Amino acid sequence: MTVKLMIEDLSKKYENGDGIQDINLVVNSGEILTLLGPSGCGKSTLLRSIGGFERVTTGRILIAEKDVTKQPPEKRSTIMVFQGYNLWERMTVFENLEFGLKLRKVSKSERKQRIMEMLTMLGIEAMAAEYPQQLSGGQQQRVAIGRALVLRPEILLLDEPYSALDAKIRVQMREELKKIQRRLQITIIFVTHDQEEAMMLSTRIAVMKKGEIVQVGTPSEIYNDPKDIYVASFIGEMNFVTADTDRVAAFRPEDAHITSAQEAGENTYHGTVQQSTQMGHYSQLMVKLEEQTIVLFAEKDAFENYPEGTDIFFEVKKMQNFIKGVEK
Amino acid sequence: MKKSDDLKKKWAPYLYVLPAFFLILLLIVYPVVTSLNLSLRDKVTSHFTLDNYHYFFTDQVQLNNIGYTLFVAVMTVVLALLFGFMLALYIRFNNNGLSKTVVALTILPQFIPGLVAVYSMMLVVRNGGVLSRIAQSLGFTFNPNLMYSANGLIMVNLWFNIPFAALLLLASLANVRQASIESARDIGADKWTVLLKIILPTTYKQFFIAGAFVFMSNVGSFTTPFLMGGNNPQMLGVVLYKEFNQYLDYNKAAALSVILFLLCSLSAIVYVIVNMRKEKWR
Repeated sequence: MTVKLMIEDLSKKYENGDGIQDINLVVNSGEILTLLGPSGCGKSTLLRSIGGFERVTTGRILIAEKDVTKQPPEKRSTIMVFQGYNLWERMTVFENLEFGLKLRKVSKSERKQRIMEMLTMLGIEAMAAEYPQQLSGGQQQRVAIGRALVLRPEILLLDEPYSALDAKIRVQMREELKKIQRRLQITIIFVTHDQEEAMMLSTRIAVMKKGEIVQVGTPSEIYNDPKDIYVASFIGEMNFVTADTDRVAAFRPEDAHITSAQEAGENTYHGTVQQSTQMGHYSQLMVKLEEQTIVLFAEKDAFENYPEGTDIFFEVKKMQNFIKGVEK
Repeated sequence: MKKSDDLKKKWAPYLYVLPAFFLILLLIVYPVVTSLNLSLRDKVTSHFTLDNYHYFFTDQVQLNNIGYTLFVAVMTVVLALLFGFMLALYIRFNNNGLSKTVVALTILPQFIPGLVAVYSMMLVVRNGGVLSRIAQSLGFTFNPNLMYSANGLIMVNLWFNIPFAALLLLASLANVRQASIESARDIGADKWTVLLKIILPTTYKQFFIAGAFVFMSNVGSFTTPFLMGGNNPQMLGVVLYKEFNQYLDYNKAAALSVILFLLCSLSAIVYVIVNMRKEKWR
């Protein structure tokens, strides 16, 4: 596995004190790495620094072992797909893809071939002569991806590219992106605040908080072994039950199974069902414990056996412990 | 009851428009029609004639005046647009103390009466004026030779019109999305390419519009050429003044006003055409 991008001790501070700091990150060739975090956590700033749109305060950025820290965006082998697509509204779809190739002095016949190939791969070859405003959101999104990919960047940067699309198209676009990535073996850095999107797309996820990277790992590492309360609560559902004064015990809703008073073991809790819902292929039970309410996922028929108001015993199979107050 | 309501609704718009309509009729349409009429009459006999126009388009002195006026106006337009655009670009893409000061300075000339500005400018640039004295105190002789010349006129016109053009162009630069520029930079466009391919296509209309305004206000300008201009050739505004006040030839004066009016409508036509133009991408 070769290293495509290396970030060393990077920081970018704005005048108002916001920004990112102590960023160290390695992205391997052919990887989809997601920068995940709530809005304002600095994930877009980090992406823009990689793309060359932000002048960093300290640290180095190396792409394919070449230091690009001081290079402007046009000199870097990264291409960004922006949140609002940023298509040039005065150019047709074809011209949008052609602009970059022209700047790279690619011959006319090769331009045409590469563009049509790309448009065909994205399924929008029929729209080549149209203007961006005439396309739907999903089609514009494809044009934006095509405009970036046709230039064969070393790293493709995507800044919340699906935030303007409705849920169904969003899922479809993710699938497409994965397919394209597998086909072209391209390195992708993807910014999102949507943990589900991150889980679905990523080879690895970098969870960010207040301008720093908290944890980097594969989706299952992040999900099964979160480093702290912040990561645990940000990714997926997590129940927190107080263990003692400075520690918190936590478990995923699916890591508990319903049991009875007789079989009660070490990690068994007792509570009252507050709400019982069938979610489709599983049931969701809201259970009131002494101090807090927690969520359980149980098998499909559980909601019938445990209506609201019934007593319930459940055993936690996998419990994790976190230190309280790790939040800065 | 209902009927009178309907009636009110029907007539209310006309009532609102009426005062403005009469003002236009009285102050614009009526003078235009009388001028047109006057310009087509002989001074002595009051019979129909084209002689008044014939005079301005055959007399060598008047032809020079027309050419001179167009030269000054066109040069002012070109230079005001060029410098105004540079200024607007600077203001749009720099956000620092200096650019904010520049914005404030840009608006300033709009608050200074033209007459005051021209006189102060004359004090500075005329031979023996402020510049000359500063030069002299430094031990050499310097005369700008800007009085009574086209250069001087154009310079003062620019003083008024660069900020004006810059403000108009700045408004259109505000429509250029930062994102469009960033994505162009990202795919490899340098600053020149961004200017040519992204910024100019978004702003070119405003060039024509700003140009039309600058042209109109300068082709018929009076204060500056009256105070700073030479005796020959003269700007048409001054010629008009002399026909009216010194030669008391109202018919020629009327003909010249019509000519000025037509020159202005030229740029008005440009303005309308550019505004009406449909663009494929919309």
